Amino acid sequence: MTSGTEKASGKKKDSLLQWLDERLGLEAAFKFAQKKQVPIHKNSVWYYAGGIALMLMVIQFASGILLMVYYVPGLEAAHASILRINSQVDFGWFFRSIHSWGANLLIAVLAGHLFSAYFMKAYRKPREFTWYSGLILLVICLGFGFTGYLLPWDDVSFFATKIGLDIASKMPVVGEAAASMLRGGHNIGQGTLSRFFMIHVAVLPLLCLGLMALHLLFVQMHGMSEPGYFKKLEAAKRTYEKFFPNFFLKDLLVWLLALNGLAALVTLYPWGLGPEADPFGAAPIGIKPEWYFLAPFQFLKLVPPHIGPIEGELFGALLMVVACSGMVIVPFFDKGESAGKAKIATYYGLVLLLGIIAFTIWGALS
Amino acid sequence: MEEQKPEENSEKHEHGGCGGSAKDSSCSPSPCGSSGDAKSSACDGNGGCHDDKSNSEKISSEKASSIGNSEQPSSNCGSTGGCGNSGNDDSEKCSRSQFLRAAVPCVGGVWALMAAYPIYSYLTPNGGDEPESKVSSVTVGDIKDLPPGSGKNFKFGSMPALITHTKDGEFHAFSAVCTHLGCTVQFRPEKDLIWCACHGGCYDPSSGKNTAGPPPKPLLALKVEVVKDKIIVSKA
Repeated sequence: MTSGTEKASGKKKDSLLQWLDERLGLEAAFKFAQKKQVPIHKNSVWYYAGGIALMLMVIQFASGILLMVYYVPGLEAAHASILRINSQVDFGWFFRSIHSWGANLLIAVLAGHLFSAYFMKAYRKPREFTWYSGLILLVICLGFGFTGYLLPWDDVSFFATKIGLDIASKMPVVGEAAASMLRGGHNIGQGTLSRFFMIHVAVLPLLCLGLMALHLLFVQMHGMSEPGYFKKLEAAKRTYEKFFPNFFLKDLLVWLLALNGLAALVTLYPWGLGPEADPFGAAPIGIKPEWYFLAPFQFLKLVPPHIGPIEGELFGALLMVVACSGMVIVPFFDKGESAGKAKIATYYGLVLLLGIIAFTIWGALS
Repeated sequence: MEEQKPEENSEKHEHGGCGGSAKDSSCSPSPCGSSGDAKSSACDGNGGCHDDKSNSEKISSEKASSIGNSEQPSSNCGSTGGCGNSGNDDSEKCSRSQFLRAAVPCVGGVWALMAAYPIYSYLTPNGGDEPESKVSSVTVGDIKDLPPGSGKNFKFGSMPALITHTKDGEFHAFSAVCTHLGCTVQFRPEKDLIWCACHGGCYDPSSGKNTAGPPPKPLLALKVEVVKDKIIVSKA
């Protein structure tokens, strides 16, 4: 009797799978998934960074949607609505804190993902587009950070936006027009808040979803990148593990750990809210941007008012753009054909990374 | 491809005139050719068409060469200088698909520009909702509220402003917008200077001159008057 029921349910399952397979091509997907494998070497731990970033991104989308239920993007209401979320709405503080902490962790994980991919030379052929889509995703995430920072409309966020848009306005040719369009007028106000809200909840998420899909597609197309020393090993010494289920289960475990870390931060250090922005008040003493903008913030402090005929801030901003442009040209500079170029690329990455870390620490301590 | 028969086309034009058939792949810049049916019609210069057997035969042979050309990948109307220009028969005609390959991006580009312009205008603030401040003077307060060696931020129309009462007894007022990156400056009594908290720029409290840090220019000065113990600041 029991075996008869099992047989019947097994048949049902098979027919359901067949029904789905005929419509979705599941078998091909399963075959592809079974083929996918992850190289095992001393730096394999960095392969988890992309997955953690993906998980955090999902958390950001979910918590962001929940926050939109109560957030009001109005000049008189924005700060009050965040106060209400923090103090009156059940678990409001929790979701707002998750969103803020999650954003910070996401940037940190993306930085780790970027530099680990860089030092493992994962930008080389045929992964140039994977590299570029990742770079653009990082820029989009920084855009999320910049636009989201203003939304609570507290004093620090007000001046951070003012500085950011003023730097943008110094850029040659299109700078002033772009800054004015983002500002929505001469001063930071309702126009800015509306625009930033629209960019934060509509434009950037759409771009982000599309690019994430492309980025993941490229990763599936080309497989996991293998560092040079691993490729040089004899075939017998190169070891791999299956993505499904081995690596995927480990991935889930790491996600769980990351989620627990996030929950601990959220609970132990709930995200605060500064005083409401006063467009006519002085910038608060000790004002600093988020940690991921501390390096450019500190660097701009050091640039003198004029360098030759160029204004200091324009020079500083352009210098930072030039310093980071190596990340864009590196796939075409270091193609893996020259050991010398590979070394230069590695040194450039090290100098850039150490420079960013040094300026960030300096900015935090000053 | 089916070889065309001029007689059939002549018959067709008797009924239908120029245009209509989409089968033929040759085109010319003339209205007739571009209308789609060049099988056996010839333009009479007035926008009409007439039957011409010899012309039909000529076009028939041109069609054959045009079909052959259409397999070559990169020639289009634009790159060959336009359809039907003088030259040998192989290059003077372009196929319908070649024409479309050139026309679709062009039309698409123009359409995109047409769509982008209103979006750009819509997003560009015209200042209508934020008129420039018409305020020309502001009463900041009483003298007794601002002892020597102190300063105060205040609102001057839509601009943040700052007044200082220096130790020599003079009042000075400035725009409080830092000339570096637009933060709002403040008076620091313990250091006796105007200071920007964002990047540490310093200004002289008497003249507004930039004295240290990254600011490239002095603060914009405003005019201060004391009338019946009231401090009045106006545009300089």
